[in-house]
Amino acid sequence: MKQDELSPELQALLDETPILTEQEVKELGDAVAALDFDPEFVADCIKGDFVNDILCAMDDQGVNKNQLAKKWGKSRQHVGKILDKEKTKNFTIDTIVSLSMTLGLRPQCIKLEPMKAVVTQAAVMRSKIGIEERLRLNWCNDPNCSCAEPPVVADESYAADESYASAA
Amino acid sequence: MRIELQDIPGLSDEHQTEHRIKSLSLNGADRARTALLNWKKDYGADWKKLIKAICYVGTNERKNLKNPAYVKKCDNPKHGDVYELRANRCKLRLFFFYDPTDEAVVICTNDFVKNDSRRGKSGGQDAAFGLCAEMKNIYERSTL
Repeated sequence: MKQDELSPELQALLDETPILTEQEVKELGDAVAALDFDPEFVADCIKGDFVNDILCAMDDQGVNKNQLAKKWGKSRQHVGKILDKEKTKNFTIDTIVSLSMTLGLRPQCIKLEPMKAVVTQAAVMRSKIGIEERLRLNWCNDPNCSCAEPPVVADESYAADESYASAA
Repeated sequence: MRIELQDIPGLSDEHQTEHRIKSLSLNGADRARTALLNWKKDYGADWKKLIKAICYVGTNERKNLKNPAYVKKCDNPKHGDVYELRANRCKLRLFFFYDPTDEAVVICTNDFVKNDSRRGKSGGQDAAFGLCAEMKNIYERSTL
């Protein structure tokens, strides 16, 4: 095959792939950004990070699941459930602490930070809505404020509401 | 051939502290981002899981990517260093490789849906890994 020649399979794949429009890229961007405000998604990410930290610590210390189970005083199945199927597992803080301490680690306290606003299409639309309406909707409590983003990004249902679309 | 790296839209810096996640576009055909857009519509719950896997790679050093539930290296030596992003009980797969010129960049190439009857026999997972490897070679040649 020549350098610039593509396999028929790759050529077919590229041929069947439509060029994304700006609107589609924006749509994807809005959907991905909105996940930062999805409690289930955020919780899953935190759980995933915890499991990964435990797996790294086990690797560093040369501890396998059987040894961890013995050290922790739990069954091998219980350890397996936590480490392999973490998505279905809801850890209690007790579990997080005791499992971490079994590996000589101390979890840091959960740190709370303000959520960053995401500029979605709906947020942009809201920013164009008059101050009276924004105050009525409790988006902003400063009558002189002309901020471009609402203080809290709530649901996207306003975007679908045609009366707000016409206001924008 | 026009070869470009595109950002995954909406993915914040907070989710890319260790790796920048990019999508490879060949002559404007951007398979990974197209798949992400389509999956959002067709596989909402699984799409969310896959974005989580992307965030996992973005926020962890390569040596710390220990969880095979999210990242798996291709076990066919013929394809070389190519990987798949996945999640537990998730049908979706997004293939990627590490940028040879900068290992802090992850380049997503193509997609695969497990048990997708529309793909037929020719579109198996190993074939998808093969396409990723081919796209990796094209990209590597362009960086020489």
